[in-house]
Amino acid sequence: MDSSDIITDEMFTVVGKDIENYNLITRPSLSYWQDAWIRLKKNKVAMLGLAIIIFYIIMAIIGPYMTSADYRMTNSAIADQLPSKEHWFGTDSLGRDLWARVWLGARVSLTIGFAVTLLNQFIGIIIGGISGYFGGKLDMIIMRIIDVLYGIPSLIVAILVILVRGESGIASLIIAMIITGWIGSARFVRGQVLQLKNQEFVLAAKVLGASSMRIILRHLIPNMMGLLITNITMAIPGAIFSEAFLSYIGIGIQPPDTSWGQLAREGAQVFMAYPWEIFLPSFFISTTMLSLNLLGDGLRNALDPKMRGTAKV
Amino acid sequence: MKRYILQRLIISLLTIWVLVTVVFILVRLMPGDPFISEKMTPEIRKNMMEYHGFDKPWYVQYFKYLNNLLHGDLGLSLKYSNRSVNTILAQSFPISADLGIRAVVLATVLGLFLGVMAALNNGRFFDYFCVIIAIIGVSVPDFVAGSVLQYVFGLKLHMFPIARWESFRHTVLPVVALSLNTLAVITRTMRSSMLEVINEDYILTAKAKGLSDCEIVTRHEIRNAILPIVTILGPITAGILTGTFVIEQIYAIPGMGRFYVSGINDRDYSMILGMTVFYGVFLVAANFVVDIIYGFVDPRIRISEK
Repeated sequence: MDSSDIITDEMFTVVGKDIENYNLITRPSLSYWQDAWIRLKKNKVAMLGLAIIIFYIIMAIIGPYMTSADYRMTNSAIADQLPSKEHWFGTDSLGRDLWARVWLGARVSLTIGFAVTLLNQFIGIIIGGISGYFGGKLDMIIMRIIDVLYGIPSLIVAILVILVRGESGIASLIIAMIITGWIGSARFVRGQVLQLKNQEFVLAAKVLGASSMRIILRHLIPNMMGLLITNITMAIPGAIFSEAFLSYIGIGIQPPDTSWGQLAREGAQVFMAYPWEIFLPSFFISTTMLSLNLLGDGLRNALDPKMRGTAKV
Repeated sequence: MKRYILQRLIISLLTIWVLVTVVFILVRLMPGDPFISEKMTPEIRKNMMEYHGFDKPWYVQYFKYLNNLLHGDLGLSLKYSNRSVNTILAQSFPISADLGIRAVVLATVLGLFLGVMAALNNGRFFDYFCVIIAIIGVSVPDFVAGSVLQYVFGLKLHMFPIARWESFRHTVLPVVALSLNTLAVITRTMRSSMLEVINEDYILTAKAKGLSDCEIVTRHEIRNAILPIVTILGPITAGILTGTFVIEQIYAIPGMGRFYVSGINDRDYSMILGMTVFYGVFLVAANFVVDIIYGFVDPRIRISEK
């Protein structure tokens, strides 16, 4: 055994203890949303859905301006054409440019989808939040009313409301869809509030003298935000679908204005001869729904606190 | 349990009353006149208004309507003169019900099967296959599915008739198109519910007791996982019902949905009112039955009585 192999105390020196920085966290701490975003980014399928939705939104804004053709201009000489250099998506049975019409329809369909869902959630948060937080008689009355309204078929009410308003523009469709649409979200928010309101952090806020309004807005709603966002993402396809359904049976958007549902209705009338014209709006409706569903699934996993820890940093 | 049933019954009856009243008011508020399109002299018009009771004050009309409803009389159609809504329903409802029941049965049986198989093969090829089917089914609206099936299997491949409702072969395409959405929802729900159940402690217990795989799946997993399916039966019925509006239009099936849509376009007040009430009562009744079934299967409701 060589003497150089022996480990002696002289070989070690004290580097020094930095007591002050002993407990310093060197890596940045992540907020709930940053954490969720990191996990969502790992989900390729959900990110693809998000990308498609953003692409459609951008195209809905700029799409109709990209071609010189006007969405209202009819020309029977060029009716029912397949895609070509002049008409990128072809033309419909009145010779109108389908590229312009599809993206104009996207504008209407997406606006309705987002507006209806956000308004429904907003009303649902207010009613469900009040009902769940205050409880007692008020809660009982609201819940009985909701029980009764829940049984009424919403699409049939929507049909009647549109007929009563007499004109079926975007506004009519939105009003018709929120009249009974908020019920599901109110029920959901109430359930969440009931679960959260007895937890310690709410008690702590109460002890510190926070008002009910502050507790609902600053403590309860932020804590259910993850589930709410997932719900919104999942509800948008439903609203887009309802709009398409109403337009398809003939009481939605009226020509020359258009929506994806209206385009499908027009396409259906000539579809034995020109299947392309129904394929086009169907493709956009289906891919939008698909993307939102995939994104919703991804968000649910990313925002679920139970899934936390799988990507701890 | 009795109290629970009674409570649901009262809520259902209240819902029906609210529905009837709201629909009555909305239909009266609608613009347009049912007698305006035809070539009518003022005298005939007046007689028609009198005959249908539109000249009386609204509350008289309302109570007369309620009274008629209690006797099962849904009123006369304004468009198809002298045909009552009851007659139209008697002809068209069996067809719609036939279509709807076939679709529900197909969707439930196949959906449960796919959902269970997907969960048992979790993470393997068959699972992804089922998930893809479910996602496509949820994303494709019924009118798209209906048109595509009609085009591919009816027009191009000549495998099935493209329209009408006559023989079994005629029913295949509409039933498949109508069930696709529900099938997807059931597959999805059943799969995630099964995946949750599989990780429960009592499944481990069952395995430790030495039960066979088959017995664990049928007696413990499926029985527990099927609960969420019962809760979505209500929305499923509503979805199938509105689905018939579109599918009957596409395949030229003389069911209720077609009459309803044409009633809307003709401003046929009595027809819309009668049919909406019928749809509403049907759905409320369906929800009531679902609630009762749920009360029986969910031990929490069953036990809370004692």
